[in-house]
Amino acid sequence: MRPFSLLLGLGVLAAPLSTVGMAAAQLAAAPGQLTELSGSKAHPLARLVDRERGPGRFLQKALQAGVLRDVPYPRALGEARPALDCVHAQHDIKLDPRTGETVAHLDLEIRAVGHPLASIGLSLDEGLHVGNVTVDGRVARVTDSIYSPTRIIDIALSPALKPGESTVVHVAYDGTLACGTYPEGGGIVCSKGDDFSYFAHQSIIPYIFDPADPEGTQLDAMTRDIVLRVPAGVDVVATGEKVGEQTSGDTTVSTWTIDHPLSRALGIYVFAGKLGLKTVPGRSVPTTYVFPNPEMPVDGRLVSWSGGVLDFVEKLGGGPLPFQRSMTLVRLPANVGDPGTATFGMTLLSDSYTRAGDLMHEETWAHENSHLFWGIVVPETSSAESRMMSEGLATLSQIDYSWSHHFSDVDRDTYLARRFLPIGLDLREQGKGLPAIQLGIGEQHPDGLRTSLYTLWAYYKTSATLDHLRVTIGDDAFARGLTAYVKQCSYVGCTPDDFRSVLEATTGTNLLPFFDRWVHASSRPEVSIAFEPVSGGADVELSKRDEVPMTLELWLRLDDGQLVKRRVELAGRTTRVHIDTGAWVRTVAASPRHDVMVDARSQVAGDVDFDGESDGIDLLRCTPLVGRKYKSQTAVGLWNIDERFDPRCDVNGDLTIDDDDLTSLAESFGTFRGTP
Amino acid sequence: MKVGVFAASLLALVLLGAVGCSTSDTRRGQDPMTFVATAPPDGPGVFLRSQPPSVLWPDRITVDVVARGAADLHGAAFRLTYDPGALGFIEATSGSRWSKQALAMAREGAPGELAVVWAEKGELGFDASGETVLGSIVFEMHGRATTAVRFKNERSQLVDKKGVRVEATWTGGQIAPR
Repeated sequence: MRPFSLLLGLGVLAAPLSTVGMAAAQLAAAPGQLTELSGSKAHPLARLVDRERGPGRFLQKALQAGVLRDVPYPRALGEARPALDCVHAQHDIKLDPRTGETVAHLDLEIRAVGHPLASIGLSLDEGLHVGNVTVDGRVARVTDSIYSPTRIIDIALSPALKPGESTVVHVAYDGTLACGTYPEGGGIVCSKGDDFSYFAHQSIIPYIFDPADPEGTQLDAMTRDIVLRVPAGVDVVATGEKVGEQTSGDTTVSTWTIDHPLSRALGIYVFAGKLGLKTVPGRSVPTTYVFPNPEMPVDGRLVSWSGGVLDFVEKLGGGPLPFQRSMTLVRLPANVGDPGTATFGMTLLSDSYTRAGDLMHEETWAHENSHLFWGIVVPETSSAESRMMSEGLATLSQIDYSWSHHFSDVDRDTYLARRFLPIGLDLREQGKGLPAIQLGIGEQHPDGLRTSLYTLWAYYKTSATLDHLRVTIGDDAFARGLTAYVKQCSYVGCTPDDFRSVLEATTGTNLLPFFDRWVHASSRPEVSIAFEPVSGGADVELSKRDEVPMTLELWLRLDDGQLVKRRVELAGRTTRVHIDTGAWVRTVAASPRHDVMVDARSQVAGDVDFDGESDGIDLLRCTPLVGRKYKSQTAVGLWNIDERFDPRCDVNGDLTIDDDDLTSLAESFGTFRGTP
Repeated sequence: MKVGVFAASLLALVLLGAVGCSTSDTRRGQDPMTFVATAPPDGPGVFLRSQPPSVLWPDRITVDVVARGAADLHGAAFRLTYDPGALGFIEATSGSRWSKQALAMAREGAPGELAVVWAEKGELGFDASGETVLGSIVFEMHGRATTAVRFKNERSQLVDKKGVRVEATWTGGQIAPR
């Protein structure tokens, strides 16, 4: 019955996604969205990647196009040295969301770190004009240019700030929002005059950048206070915790705070109009769900999921999310072209994701909300060097969430192994040349918006490695380590190696060999397994081709059907170990959760079920699969779940199970223990 | 020339039939060896059934492998164990219900232990609800001692076209003088 329930479980998961490619295409082709995607096989998450990387990439293009003539880009070698350290921003914005009329003021406290800081950059809606700009103790020279749909401003500081010096920049700006559209399907800057008016980062709240590093890949975290003044009767919600709101005369003034450091590159949003507002039940911190009216069935679903999702996220993080005054969850209408993201106390997701089916919609909701820890509260030092501790953890979290909320009747190890199976196949097929998870000096991650290679590198390779790490050190130790990591790295930029240090302290284990093999480098070592059943256990021999230590969790299936799991340290090339089980051992295999990262195989060719022999049962596992092909849909592994494609039957690795594979398997048919 | 050989063979068969002998055992005054199946329990299962003794190969015995209660049978894999001093494996042939492209393999991996697999390729199966001959195994008998032929249950399996195991009992028997 177990296999049946497994198939049923994953079948349920796959059912709404059996047309996943179609779902992705539908997402891509949604009206008002990314037309560039319509003909591609883009991954649904790729659009989230786009959004998170969008402003920086857009600015990079703008500077490359020479939009700021006085700011050559790219800089000459050695000049591109980011020095901007934003400390705090005070935003005061008067906005009429019906017309887009805006009058605003920004006070920005900055410091120079490492190098002299000669200028800072701002970008905002092209309809807004910069007025008076002053810098405390400095002369400010403003260069202003339109790179539609934004206006890009360079504020040169004279004299430049020396490392360690700080100042406050005062910027007044006003005008009528143009709310244009980004090129290449990048969505809109804002919408005005709607019941659900949307004001993204770079519209009324300037995106702050260091012209030396417009992508902002190095963490620069800052606090903010936001005061919003809107006409009375207008609903308004902003990123941050809500401090208060009062109406005086014809104006409603609300104040919002980001009182812990948040990467300046992360999105700051404002929504205004006649907003749909619902309270998420069961949360001690007031949590508001915001949606465009009229209310749709999906709103009820998202509200019903949210309590469980946030509780789950907090369990992963080892404690409550640190947003004590309020939290906001937003369903974005598809026509704004914004797939969503997570930011300070706020999670956003496009309703386009409803098309992936409820299960994947909910799972994606879990992914985005998990970013409240992975990337927001616990940021990465550099998003250009690794995404393991943001996207990797978020992808792992979403899979864990689906298991715990929908498939907990399925063996967890088996579920996880099946979820990572297509990821492993995608990595093997398309990801052969991918760089390591943690890039070295001078290395670059796969580039290009919407490239599947970026998704493979940032999401899949990282999450698969993290799950492999969990099996290596044990799920409980990993969970404890993650909690310790959250405590140590909250609001501080951390790297995968910081995580390693935390895990080493938690487990008392040297994890450098693991990180050197799978995080700082790419590897899928082959390990062959042989065993001899002996009274009450098994003598096991594990062989690999290098001397680097590694750990495998072995699964020993006993005569009575019981499964015994034991972690074994593989020191040199050959490791021999006796494992007591108390009963006769039938099979010895590695945990299937190692499969993406370790090529574990029986020492006996054709022994698919790891009983140390090759016979008809091995072939029977594969014959029903003849004709099956794994069709990778450009790195949609999380969605493209063919639970019946068994890589062990695909001997030649061509992603098709056919006669050639059966012939290879059959070559050793009839090899029994002791066969000469 | 060919006609002559055929005629001589036919004559020999007729003569053997005329004297009423089916094996050399009888000529030597001994009872013929036969396969005695253990009675299979009710329900889905696989069991062995004796074929009539061979006239041409009196020292050989052929047993059919018969399945029943498998509505959507894709494949059968099993191991047979026997005394290699008493029996020698000659060949295994698949039954007529398998398609032409079906996989059929048999190998004595160790003395006295035979691995056999008969399986369709792809999601194919056939109805073996009623008694269905999956194939036949031919042994050569090395003597006249009673000897058991058993399935190794833990390595014997039927699966349906989805690859799901079909619960079945596996019942062997023994070769003994009639």
